[in-house]
Amino acid sequence: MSPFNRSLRQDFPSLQKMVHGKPYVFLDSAASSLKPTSMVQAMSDFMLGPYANIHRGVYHDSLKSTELFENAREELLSFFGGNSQEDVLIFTRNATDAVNVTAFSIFEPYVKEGDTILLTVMEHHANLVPWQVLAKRKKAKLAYVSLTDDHQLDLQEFEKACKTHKPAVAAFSFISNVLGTINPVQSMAKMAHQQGSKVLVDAAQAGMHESVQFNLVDSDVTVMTAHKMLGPTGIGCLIAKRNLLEKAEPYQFGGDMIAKVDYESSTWNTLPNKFEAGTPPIAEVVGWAAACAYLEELGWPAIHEHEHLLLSAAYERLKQMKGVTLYGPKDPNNRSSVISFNIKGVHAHDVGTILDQEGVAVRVGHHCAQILMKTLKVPATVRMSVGVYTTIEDIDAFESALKKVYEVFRL
Amino acid sequence: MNDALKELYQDVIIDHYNHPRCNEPIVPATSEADGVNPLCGDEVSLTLKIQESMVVSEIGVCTQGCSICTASGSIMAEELEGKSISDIKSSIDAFKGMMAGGDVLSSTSGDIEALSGVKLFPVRIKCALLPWMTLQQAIDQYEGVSKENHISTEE
Repeated sequence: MSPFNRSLRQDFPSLQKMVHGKPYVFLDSAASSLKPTSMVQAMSDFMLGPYANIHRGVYHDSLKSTELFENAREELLSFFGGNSQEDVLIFTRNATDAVNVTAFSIFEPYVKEGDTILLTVMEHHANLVPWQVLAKRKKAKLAYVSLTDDHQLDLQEFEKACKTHKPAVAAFSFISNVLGTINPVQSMAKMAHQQGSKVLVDAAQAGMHESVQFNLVDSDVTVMTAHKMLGPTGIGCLIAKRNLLEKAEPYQFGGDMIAKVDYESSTWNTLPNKFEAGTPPIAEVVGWAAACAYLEELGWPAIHEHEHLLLSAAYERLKQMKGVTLYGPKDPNNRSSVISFNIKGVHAHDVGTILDQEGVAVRVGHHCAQILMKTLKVPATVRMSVGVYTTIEDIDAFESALKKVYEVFRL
Repeated sequence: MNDALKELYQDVIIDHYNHPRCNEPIVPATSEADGVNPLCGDEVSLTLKIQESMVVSEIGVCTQGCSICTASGSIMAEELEGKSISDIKSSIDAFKGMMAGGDVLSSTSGDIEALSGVKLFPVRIKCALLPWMTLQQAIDQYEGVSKENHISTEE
């Protein structure tokens, strides 16, 4: 039994609909999660209430808005396990933007010609393409750590790569958005730090499923996005050690990030403003904090229990089906939130179209992880993913819809 | 199975998907082109033997992709092999028109008609079009209209 009451579904109005005449079954939270009313309400209350621009007004609502915005920053930093004395949370557009800020500003001075940037084959393009570009500019090399037969990160290979290459940067995901593999990020950060590397953890996929625990993991930078964890689009962040950010040059320039502006040159504002040029998405920040409050109320132990139950059920049923290849770790304790698979003789896109006609939304394709697709030697996979609002009935409907695939393809 | 799915996945489509015709590359080829749909990773590799009489005597379509893309390429090759370049060009235009919601294209085998169901699924139209666009590219290249032998659905 899930620890969540069925009435939780009422918090997500977008679930209450029919698609192609069938009750809507949403199994694509890994692409973007659904939104609870409380989060939307928080944004709406703010925009229709004390809304004003922040950091510059002397009047009541501007001060009130600034307070809401900065309180939200504090709440988010604490939710992600940061400490406001030593760590700083910088708002960005999304996790991709946060990786770009890290690659081209925060870590940039530490990468020299001939250096290595260490990645894994399971990285999302967001944590891969920026490093490719940086490597080209710096005449640095890229190295990729591969997978074990069980589709976990090969930790021995990772350690060896750290010792051999002494990488300037090691960047890796907390959870693979395709395999669901939970990486031992704490051990990985330690191994990389021992060789003097700067470490980035891409926690975009973890948001709604695992506690990020910035200080425990001990990365230099961790990047997050709101929209995969019940929050709005257009807002993400990076959390980094204060002393690292103090040494770094700003990424973008303009209003709010300056201290003094003169005809020829300017000086920079203090942290975090130095990295936040221009008016930020204020309402989105307020909404994101409300989304985290929603998750906090549910609590990680209950979220884990709920998702474990659903993923195990889905995995067992898929295993029984003819010609199904499952990707990702076999032990449900080593995976989180997603299951990728293929059905022999049917392309992932056809599976996606047939499931859609049954009201079931899944993701099909390369999932912005083409290096991983090459590693798995497949052009595409079908990916189902769960969230706090997913029910066992959704898994039942998913299973029934998959049977239609066999019917359509006369398998 | 609902009516839309029946319309899309007709027996003819499934048969061409499971047993694609003309799927050996023509060696040596008079003209060739590759087509990709970067959104889904579908790939079509097309080879042609074109006679001096401007008749396309052989078509090879190797597809790595979904049922709609594979079946479309197989049906296209079977239907157009042995036709003149000018006839093929009109067929390509007519097929594009059918996918845009125009008249259903009639074919000797009756198989092209089976692809008309794709237009009910807007996101899958590109899958059906990819082999035809690749064929167009191979012909353009043969005629010197284009120097490229690569096309993408996203350009």
